[in-house]
Amino acid sequence: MPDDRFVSDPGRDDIVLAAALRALPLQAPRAGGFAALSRELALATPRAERSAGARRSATAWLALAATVFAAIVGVRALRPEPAVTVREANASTRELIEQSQQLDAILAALDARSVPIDAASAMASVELENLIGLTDLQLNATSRDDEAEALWSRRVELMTRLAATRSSARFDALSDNGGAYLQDANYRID
Amino acid sequence: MSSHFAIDVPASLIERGARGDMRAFEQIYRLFERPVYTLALRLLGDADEAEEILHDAMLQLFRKLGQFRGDAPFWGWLRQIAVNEALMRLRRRGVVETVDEMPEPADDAAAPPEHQRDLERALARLPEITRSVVWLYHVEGYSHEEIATSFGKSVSFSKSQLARGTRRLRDYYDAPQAQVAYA
Repeated sequence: MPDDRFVSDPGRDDIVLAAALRALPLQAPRAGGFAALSRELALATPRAERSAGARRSATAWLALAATVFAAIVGVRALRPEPAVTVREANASTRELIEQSQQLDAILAALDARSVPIDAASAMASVELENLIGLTDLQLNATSRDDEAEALWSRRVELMTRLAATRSSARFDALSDNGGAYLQDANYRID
Repeated sequence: MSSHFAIDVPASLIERGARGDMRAFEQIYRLFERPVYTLALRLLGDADEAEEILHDAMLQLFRKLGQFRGDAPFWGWLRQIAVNEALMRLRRRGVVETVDEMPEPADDAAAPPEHQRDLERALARLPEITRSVVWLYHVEGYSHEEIATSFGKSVSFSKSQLARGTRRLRDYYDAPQAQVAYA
């Protein structure tokens, strides 16, 4: 449906009011909503179905790894190279590495479209980046497969939180600036 | 400026979510949790209920993701799920009030809004059905036909609710300009 109907329809005389309503900031729910939803979904999904889903997911991650390779090259250049490589890792760790790589690509896309964000979000981002850096150092230091898998899992978790923080902060910035950074208020993540 | 929902989501992310990939679904959830919550909060006027709508709408999304065919924007599809959930909640409340029954504001609350918080207060004081129509039309860009379908009412219902709600909000919103003109 078109979103510029306010402008194109001369019969409407409430453009100012509509703009004021649209400029009201987005509201944030309390934290923990997704965790509760995940628990409910896990309880509702039969175990066999979950296993099949996990296998399909692993296949999908492998397929996507190739497409994000180009995007992560630049990011990897800025970060220490973890000692555990895809070739040496077990299947579970390989899946985590590939998830980490895709998150790298998403974060790179968000960085490329950066807009000013509030101080709290910036501090949270820096803290998460520091933790990711620390995890990378630990990955470089470990030679045990079980430790490496746990560290890659932690890296994926931290990067997911970082992506959520940055995308949420972007919503705030875009809203606070009346959509000045948007063309027709469309927001795209490639 | 368009709806806060207007986010282009990569098809690959949707496909992964449809296959049950929880990490992909979490990314979709994080992208839309605030637009869905805000919409529910504006329509229902209650933070706890808005969180329940967010939960229920995302649950619906997860279960229906495999049915998404891509012939319309994903965000519009998700938004309609959220609107339906919120309107079902309104119907369960059995709301019968209309804008005509809205009490006149007290003197101390009649001061015109000077910033967004005042506009939010004015919006919150509208009857919930009227407020929902105003929000869907002015913010989400729904047509009268789409609103009528969502509510299961006539187009004239949508037009009358919008006219009354808009007039009431505009009275608040225009008042500061009037004061300046008469100063």
